[in-house]
Amino acid sequence: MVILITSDNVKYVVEKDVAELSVLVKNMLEDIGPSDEPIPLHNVTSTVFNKVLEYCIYHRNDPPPSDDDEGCASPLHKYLASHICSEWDQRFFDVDQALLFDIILAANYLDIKTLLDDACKAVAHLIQGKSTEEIRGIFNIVNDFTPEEEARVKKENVSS
Amino acid sequence: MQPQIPAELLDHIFSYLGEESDLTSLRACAAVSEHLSHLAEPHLYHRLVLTNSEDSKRCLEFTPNEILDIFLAHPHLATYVRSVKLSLASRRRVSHSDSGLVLVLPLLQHTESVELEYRTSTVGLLSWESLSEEFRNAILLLLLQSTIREVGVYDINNFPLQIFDGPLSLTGLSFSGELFYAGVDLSHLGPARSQLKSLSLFTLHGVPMEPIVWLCDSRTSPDLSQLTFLKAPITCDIDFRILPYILSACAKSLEVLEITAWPEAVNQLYEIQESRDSPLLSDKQDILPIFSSQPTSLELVMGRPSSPGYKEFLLSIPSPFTLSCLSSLKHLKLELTVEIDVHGLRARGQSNPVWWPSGHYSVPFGWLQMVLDDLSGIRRAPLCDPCIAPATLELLTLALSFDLMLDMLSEVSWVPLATALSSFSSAMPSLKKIVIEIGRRPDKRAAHHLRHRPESEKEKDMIVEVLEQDEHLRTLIEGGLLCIVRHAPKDYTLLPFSSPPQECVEKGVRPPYLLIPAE
Repeated sequence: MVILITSDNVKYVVEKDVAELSVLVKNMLEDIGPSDEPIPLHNVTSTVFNKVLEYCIYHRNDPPPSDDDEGCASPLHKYLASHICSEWDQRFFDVDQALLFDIILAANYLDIKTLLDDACKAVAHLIQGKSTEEIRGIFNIVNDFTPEEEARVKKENVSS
Repeated sequence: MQPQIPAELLDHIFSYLGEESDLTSLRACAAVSEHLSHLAEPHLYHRLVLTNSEDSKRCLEFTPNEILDIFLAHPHLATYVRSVKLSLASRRRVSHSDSGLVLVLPLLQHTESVELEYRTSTVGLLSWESLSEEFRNAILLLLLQSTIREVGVYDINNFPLQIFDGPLSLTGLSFSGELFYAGVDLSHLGPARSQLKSLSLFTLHGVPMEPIVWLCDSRTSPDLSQLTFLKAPITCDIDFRILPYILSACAKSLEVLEITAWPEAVNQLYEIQESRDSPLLSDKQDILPIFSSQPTSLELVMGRPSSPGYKEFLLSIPSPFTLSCLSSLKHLKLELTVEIDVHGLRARGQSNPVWWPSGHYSVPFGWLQMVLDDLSGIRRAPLCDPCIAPATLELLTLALSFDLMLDMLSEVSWVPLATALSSFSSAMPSLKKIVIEIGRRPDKRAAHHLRHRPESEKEKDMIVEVLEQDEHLRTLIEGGLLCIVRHAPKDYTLLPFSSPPQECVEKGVRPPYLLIPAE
């Protein structure tokens, strides 16, 4: 078992194979060797880690992702990745937008590639069909174009 | 408080929009702010589709002159282009767009993938020579760039294959139509050749000869010994004699083999309401062709004896070929057709349709059994080397297209299919999954419309249900080995996670992906 402590000081005792889906945790475990020392997860709150843990437990037996999407992934893994969208995953990502973004940040910090990929796909779906103004709202971004730049961008987008 | 997503993750998110060619959403993102504009632009211009057609009804994303203006005003945008598709029109529809493209192509210095296709709504070929010399040279210079990895040439008649001879960086080639190989000795280019990883051959009339001769005969054509992906058609018996030459060349490296086997080549005729498990065979249908029954040498000719380009070639492989020699094969995909028609059917081995009396159907399951037995080593031609069955095969995909009247579906016996799959799974311990993808037979005249017809999706669902309820197939499904899914067109692959696609809900059809029940 592995002991993990989130940024809000919540302690988790997690099975090693589940914890090692995070490359960050796996590398830290290798660095410290056999030890009961808790591993701090500075950038993840317990609210977000609950979701991450839920994902890791469900996907603990999945084939490991390839580092090289072009070459090394097995045909079966590629097929499953491109054709299968499980009901469980659909429900998992059916969360409010702020939590979805927090999951992305946590997956990136913890280096869980499959979770990061799936969460980014979920955000891509969120964007699809939205107007520029709506996307500004989603990402909380202010329009910083000068009037000239905005006119140019609009002109280039006319052909759509 | 909304968390801020860092740039590299926004880039990752936009890459999924790019994969789906959702340019509308990418443009909306590019117009959000200067920061997002910089992140979205590489995905917006990653793939460029251009045409020299003057037909306004077929206008694509940009005309050559529009994209030229954009790239001249903002040169950095041209550096984002990685994939170019040139959709070439017949000369009747071209006036001056060639000259626009001639100026655009040299700007695309980072292109990795090029597709050349004949832009037509009917079956036909465009002659390479019909393009202007200036335009042809611009295309060839693009293809010879050191960045080019993948090239597809579709239905461009007499395209010179030897442009790809020598030490290029090519890893993937796709061809259809009638290409040109002169058989000229280019050994002065030296021993270096490009190493192909993937090769796709598409055709309406059997495997195209020229690429095969070129690849197997020339000492300077791309090397196939590292090929990992091959897609090829089987439309008639001659294809069974040609394909072993490619397969032999990549027997140790090939990981994915996709074969589109036409019903005229591999299907057997069965009679409805008679002995449904035994095929009704005509004199010409008593022997089904498979790879291992083919000879080791093959004479091929290109052109007509009186024509200037006439050539004779003799290809040979060291020993008779069997699929079990594919020692690295991980995924075998067979695209097959089930035909049921109350009015009659075509016979195997006939180039022209022959109409059979009503009350019959044709299925490829007898041939499937032979192929799987050949692969697993259960059955082997006596002359073949004792190859060891590939212990690496993980996935078998059967893409079954149905050309039938749905009310006749219950008349089909699925026993031969279940038997073939069952014996194969027993003989192939590495096999993890068999997936049957259900589709409707693509009709060339209506393929585009058929894919999007809602009733077509419902029909596929009905076929899935019939197969799932078959007692013989159900055993394999319940064992976890087999799953049957509706074939998902490419434009449906990016799906909302929160719910099934709205159009599926409205039309009362299944989402076009495999559902894994939640635990």
